[in-house]
Amino acid sequence: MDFKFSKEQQKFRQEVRDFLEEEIRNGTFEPDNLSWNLGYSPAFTKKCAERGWIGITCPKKYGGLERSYVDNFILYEEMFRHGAPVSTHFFADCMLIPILLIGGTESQRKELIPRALRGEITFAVANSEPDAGYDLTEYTTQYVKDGGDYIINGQKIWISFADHADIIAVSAKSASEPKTYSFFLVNKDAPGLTVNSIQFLSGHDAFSEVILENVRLPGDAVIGGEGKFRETIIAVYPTEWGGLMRITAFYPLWKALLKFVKEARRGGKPLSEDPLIRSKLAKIETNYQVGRLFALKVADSMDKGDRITPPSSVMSLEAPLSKVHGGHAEQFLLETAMDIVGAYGQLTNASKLESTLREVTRWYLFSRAFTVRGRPEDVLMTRLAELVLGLPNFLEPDKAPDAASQRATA
Amino acid sequence: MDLANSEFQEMLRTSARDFLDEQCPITVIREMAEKNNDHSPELWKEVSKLGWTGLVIPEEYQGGGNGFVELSLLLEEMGRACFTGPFFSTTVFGALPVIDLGTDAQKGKYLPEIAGGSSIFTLALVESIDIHDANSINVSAHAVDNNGYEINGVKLMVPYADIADYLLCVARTDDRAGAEDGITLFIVDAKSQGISHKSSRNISDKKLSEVTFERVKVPTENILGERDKGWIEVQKMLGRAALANCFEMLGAMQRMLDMTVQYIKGRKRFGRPIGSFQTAQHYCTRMLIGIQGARLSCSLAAWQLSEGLPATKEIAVAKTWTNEAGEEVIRLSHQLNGSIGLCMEHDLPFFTKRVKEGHMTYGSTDYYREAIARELGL
Repeated sequence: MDFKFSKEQQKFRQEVRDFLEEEIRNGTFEPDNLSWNLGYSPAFTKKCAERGWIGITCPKKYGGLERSYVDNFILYEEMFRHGAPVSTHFFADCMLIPILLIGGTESQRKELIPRALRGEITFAVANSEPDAGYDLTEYTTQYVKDGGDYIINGQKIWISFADHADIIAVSAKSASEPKTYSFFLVNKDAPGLTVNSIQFLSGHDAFSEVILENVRLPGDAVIGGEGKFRETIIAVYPTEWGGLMRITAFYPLWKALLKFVKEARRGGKPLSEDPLIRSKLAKIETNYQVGRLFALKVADSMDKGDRITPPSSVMSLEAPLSKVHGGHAEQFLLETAMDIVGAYGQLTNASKLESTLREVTRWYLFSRAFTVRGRPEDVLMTRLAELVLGLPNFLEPDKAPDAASQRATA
Repeated sequence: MDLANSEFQEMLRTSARDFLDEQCPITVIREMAEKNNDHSPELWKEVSKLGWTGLVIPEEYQGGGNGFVELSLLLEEMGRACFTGPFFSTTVFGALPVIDLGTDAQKGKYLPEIAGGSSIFTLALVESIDIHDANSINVSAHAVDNNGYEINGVKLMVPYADIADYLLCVARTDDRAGAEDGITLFIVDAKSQGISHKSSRNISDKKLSEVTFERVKVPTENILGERDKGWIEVQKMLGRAALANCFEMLGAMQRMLDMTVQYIKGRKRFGRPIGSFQTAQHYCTRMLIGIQGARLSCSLAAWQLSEGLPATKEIAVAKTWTNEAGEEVIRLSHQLNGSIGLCMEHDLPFFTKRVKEGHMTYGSTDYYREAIARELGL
């Protein structure tokens, strides 16, 4: 057992840190929260691409550096801690590339991965529908074959980053073959595709609906081949569930809060001397350190060769657990921050607070999504109970536990 | 970076589990409890033969030369088995402090004895409700001649006082200094003239004694570490004890979850296993998350100690998380095991008591949260 980062890894971390601190000094970006989702900067992405800091775990065969998942952990830990605007390439890095590596054709990999590594692809994944979550039997978005093409009709909703994405991966059921779910690469400018921003309760532009009306796609738009959606989509979960994005996204606000309590005063003393506040902040730090270890464990397991197809400790235990914990941790951070800033929390933009703290009210509202987005936490908890503890499925209590993975779910 | 056990560590763990499953099943623990017995010399002999009493002792003193990580793996298995005996106190309040602070003569005398299983150590520290309060240390040690001290006062909650060979006694040698100065560690022969005990039982039916020191003579050479500078060593010892104890809790917590899952898979209501109901499943998942977080945070702290790195924050994070996770495991496992789980004929209460004992010993959640707050620079 060894928790030490190697000398090379420490050097890498310092290199990333030095770069980010210089960028901040030069004013090329201002640290902000949830930067993996909302920090959009093609210019910053270009600099990351130039340094080879996109898709660093990708095999050299496709132009990647084939670095370890722990190295990737280090990279994104520094990025998120500094609130760096990575969203432009984040989805392509952590979702498109893994999707293509696990399920794409060789030609799709050769065409798209180098572009993704250069930061040229903005990407989103569209699965959820108004009436369907991860239970694919509820899908209404469907496709038919027309000559060598596909035509898709349907509606997707709650899609992160669809507003910026040039390519959207859309899952749909076959209109003719039962229980056949395919995954398509759709260009934003495809005729019949409409992306509408959802008016989110916090006011952030984070989610969209994606409407497909007779969207015609060439035969090679289907990722890997027909019917491969379920075995391909799993590629996103190590990050979607087990990544640092779920525990480190509010690090800038956290730092600002720690500073705030030392400066703000009540009853003639700084807030930082209030034992109740000290205790809550200690709890936040504990949640953060444990969440960090959960994400590190995922990276460690990936480096040990976890292929994420069963049996996979990443998919059954480590990533779902990380997501459930992260949702609570980030919500607790924002609830506590609201309590601490007191009356200033009434404003959606409290100019007397430091930049990463002043929108705490809006972040608090956004945080209601953290236990819902990516997979609702109660669903993940049931998954953990079935796959890790072997508890019987509620719908089919007499079936052996791994029958659960055979049902049509994403 | 490698979060899995090494081959040696894994072998240590599995051989410990095999031994404990065979020699220390819950029936043995139950028998000991029925006889009010918290030490089995036969079991202790076996445990020494396995090298456990010498696990962390350097090889030059007949030990295994292992670190805190190896110790933690053993403690987790012992917690899982509800092991009853002075292993924890001898290792944490005997071996580790002597290794840290002992003179060559002291190491040469005590460490081989501990490794061989012939010396049992315990800690005489507590005098008030707060083990971390230096103000509460009033047991005094006055120099009485050129080569000795006399200890007077009463210590509380001393485990294994009646079977220990040595009491590591925390006494005040200078009462003109501030509360945290003037405190010294003494290795006191437990059979010294003037020592008397009055015992009570703790939540796990372990004997804890009120130990009275009446003009107890201790030679100067039995001071461990520097005279008057013992309090900081006590703090270090308590931090290690808290972490070590977290591993015992962890083993017990895992056992409680395993028992619960087993039970709800089989127990049927309305024609289906109660483990198919989502509330029951979510209770189990909450316990699982707590246990996994405890395992990782405790392992990190143990590794820091093994590497000789500072671990104040890591220990505090591990302790607060394990405390809260432990409390939740107690609550939810009892919820799911129903009425039968509340009866002593069931195994669950043995583990409940151990987990709660761990929770309340060596520092509260509030204390360690405050330690984290200080580490955050607040």
